[in-house]
Amino acid sequence: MITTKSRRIDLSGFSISIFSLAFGLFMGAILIIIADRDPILGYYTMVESSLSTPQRIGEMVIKITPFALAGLGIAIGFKGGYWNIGAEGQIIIGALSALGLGYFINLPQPLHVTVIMIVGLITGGGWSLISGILKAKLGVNEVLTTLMLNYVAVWLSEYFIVGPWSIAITGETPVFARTVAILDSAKFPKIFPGTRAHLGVIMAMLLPFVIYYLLHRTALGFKIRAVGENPRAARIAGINVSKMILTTSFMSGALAGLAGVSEVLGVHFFLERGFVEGYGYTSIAVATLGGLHPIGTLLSAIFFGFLINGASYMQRGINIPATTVQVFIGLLILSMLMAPIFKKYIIRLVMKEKRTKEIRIEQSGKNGLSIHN
Amino acid sequence: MDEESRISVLMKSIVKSFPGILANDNIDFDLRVGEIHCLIGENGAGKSTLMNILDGLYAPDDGEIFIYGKGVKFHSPRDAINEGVGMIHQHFMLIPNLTVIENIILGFEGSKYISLRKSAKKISEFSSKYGLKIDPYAKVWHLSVGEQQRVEIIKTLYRNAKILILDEPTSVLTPEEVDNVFKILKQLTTEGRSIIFITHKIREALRIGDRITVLRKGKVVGTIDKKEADENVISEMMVGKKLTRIEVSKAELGSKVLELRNVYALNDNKILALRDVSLDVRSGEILGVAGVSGNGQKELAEVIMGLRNRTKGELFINGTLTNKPSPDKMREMGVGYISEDRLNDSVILNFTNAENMILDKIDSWPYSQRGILKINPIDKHARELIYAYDIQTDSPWKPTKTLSGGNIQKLSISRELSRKLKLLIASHPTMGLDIAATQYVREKIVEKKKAGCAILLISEDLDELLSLSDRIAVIYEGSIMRIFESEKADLKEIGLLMAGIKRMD
Repeated sequence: MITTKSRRIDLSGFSISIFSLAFGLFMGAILIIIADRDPILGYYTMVESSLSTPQRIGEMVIKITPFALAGLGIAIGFKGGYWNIGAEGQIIIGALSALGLGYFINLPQPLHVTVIMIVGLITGGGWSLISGILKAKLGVNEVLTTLMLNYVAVWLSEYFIVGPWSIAITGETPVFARTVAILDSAKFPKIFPGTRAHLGVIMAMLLPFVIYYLLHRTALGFKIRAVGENPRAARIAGINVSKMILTTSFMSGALAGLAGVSEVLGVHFFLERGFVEGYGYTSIAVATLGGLHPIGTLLSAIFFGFLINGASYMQRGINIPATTVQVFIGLLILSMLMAPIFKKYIIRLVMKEKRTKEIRIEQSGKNGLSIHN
Repeated sequence: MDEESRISVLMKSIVKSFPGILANDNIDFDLRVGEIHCLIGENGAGKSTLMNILDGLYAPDDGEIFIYGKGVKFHSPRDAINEGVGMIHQHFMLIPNLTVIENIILGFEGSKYISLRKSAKKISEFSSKYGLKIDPYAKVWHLSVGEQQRVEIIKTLYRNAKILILDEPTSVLTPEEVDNVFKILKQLTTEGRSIIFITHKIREALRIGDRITVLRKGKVVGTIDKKEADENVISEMMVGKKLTRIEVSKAELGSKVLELRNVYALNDNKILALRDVSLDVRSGEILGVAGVSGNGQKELAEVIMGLRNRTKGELFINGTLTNKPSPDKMREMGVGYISEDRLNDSVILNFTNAENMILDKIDSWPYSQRGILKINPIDKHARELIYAYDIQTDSPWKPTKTLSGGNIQKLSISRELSRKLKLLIASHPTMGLDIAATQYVREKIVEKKKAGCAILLISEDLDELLSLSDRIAVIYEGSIMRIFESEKADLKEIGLLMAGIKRMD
């Protein structure tokens, strides 16, 4: 009796996600109706336009890529107890190093790209490692330091954009503040003809599996998870906790740095003000929605990428203001993140119903059978 | 007196189930007027459940209760006390910031107006009558554990309890205090009160009980008179099989594996917790540390393990001075640690059992090779430990948080003992384990000793310390009072030292 009861209540995460999505779409529909537009048409446009041509599918996966990479970095950080809020800054630092190397050194393409990726991993990881060292050695809260370092990174990029790497150094008069563009040899190769999908997309799709393997099948991953779950028990068991914090912080930042590299080498080729568009912050939601699971984070990134990409089509399709679309995106993400609350609430409802039923059965069976055998 | 009136409590075919377990399975129990009836059994045998039913905390699923021949149905402890049944719980139900009087009359004020003086007078009467020395106006947090227990006893007497239930009352007391409590209980029975005494210590049951009822797995195994009982009979009834006495041979003592010289350390509140501690443990030796908990045992273990800094003094492992000890360095040197806080210190609740069992061996062969986990050896290791320690779980790959407390303890102990050890720090290794598991863990510890491991055994169980240790150090307020050779140890003197009393000789 007890076992069946718990099995009945065990709603899978998937059905809850579907419920959350439906709830979000419902709220979004209300919003669109308030804006005096047709929600059904809006949603139809969103899906249809995103998937209608290979070129458009390519645009969508390009949007997914930075979320997948930075989200993965955040997920591994959170798993290891390193609360990295600094993906934004790490993306910027990765992008800056990519731009510098992409413009100022000249190598044959495969080598050039490889060097830039490696350096991007190191600079992004190194930027995060600053917070890692402060946490491991001095016990400084990484939430604060990673967040603060974002501002440092933003203003550092500002310096390069208007200063030494500005387009002005080529003699061109800039229309808006931007840097020089990277050399062709530094650009990511395209993977599908007729689309802008680039090498970074492949990495974004494969790395989650690599990281999953790392976390669950290697000693290093085991230790990272142990430290994240219970640092005291990990320490007592002989795991070097500060070393693990340093490792986790580096890996977390490196993946975010790679996201920055991928944006520069694959999509933008130069930097302008605000080029990161808050990806680093959105990726926190990506990782959280993905349950901090590498594969889950990938799925979550696909959802975010599709949503943000598709919402722009919807904006044009049914002609609603951009700000309304922003609210729509916010509503949907909020609804997805509320899944745990829905789960709790629905379970409570189901339990209540079960209990009243049970009491009824118990009362009707009181005189007859014993319930204990 | 006829038969009926000589019985104060009669419980008939009591049944109580919790999700997944049948805690009380058709239990019959009776208590005679003026007797001390011991209820003995392993953890999870159903003793506390049965008594919580009698105290009105739980409602039985089935069965009847008679108090002095009258059928009763309790819905709360208040109902129980109205019929004269009072329970003294293992964890005292006192409010530290209130005075003794306030605690005693709390919830039993009688009227809106409280006369503290009247109450104090009544309390003093009890105090002098039963030798329950207590200051009615003292704040409870000022009192020692023994004194707090006296307050609990007075509290039940104040509520006119004729039937007293004591749940493991001696577990927190020094031997001296135990003697005192036993005297008081005897006196209470001479006045017609009846007492149910829950314990899992056989010797205690034999000392205090008139009759002894043994429970096992929710059923009554039998009730026997004190005259017919001895240790073997009871332990056999409790476990269902004969216990083998552990043979502790004098092992060859080797070199000093652990040595502390004049060590000082602070506790978490920055108060001096270890004062000038000097001791050593040789290979093949078990050094027992006796003391009432909270006297620096935890800090001692943590200092050795490198979890806590020492403020002064020297620590030698295998003859080499360790300057900045850390748990990973200690483990590399072959030190194992069974922490007293197994839930927080020893396991990761969200990890699977198999993962927790290799927490300390993750980098070593055969569990990982070139950094890659080897699932088969990990699985095999887990299955072996689950079998050997009889850990109740469906699978090695179930999260450890699904295990019961006792099984989590077995898991963490099994992991520590499955290492190659030069030094083992064992903090209360058998606390909370049932007899069979206790026996197994003790045998394993002795096995380690025979293999040449040096063992620092911290325990509150004097029987355990005396039967396993070669030497016993008594710790009190962070100081080592004295170190005895086990054969020459005098229980009485150990008790006095544990209470901080140094004999003048």
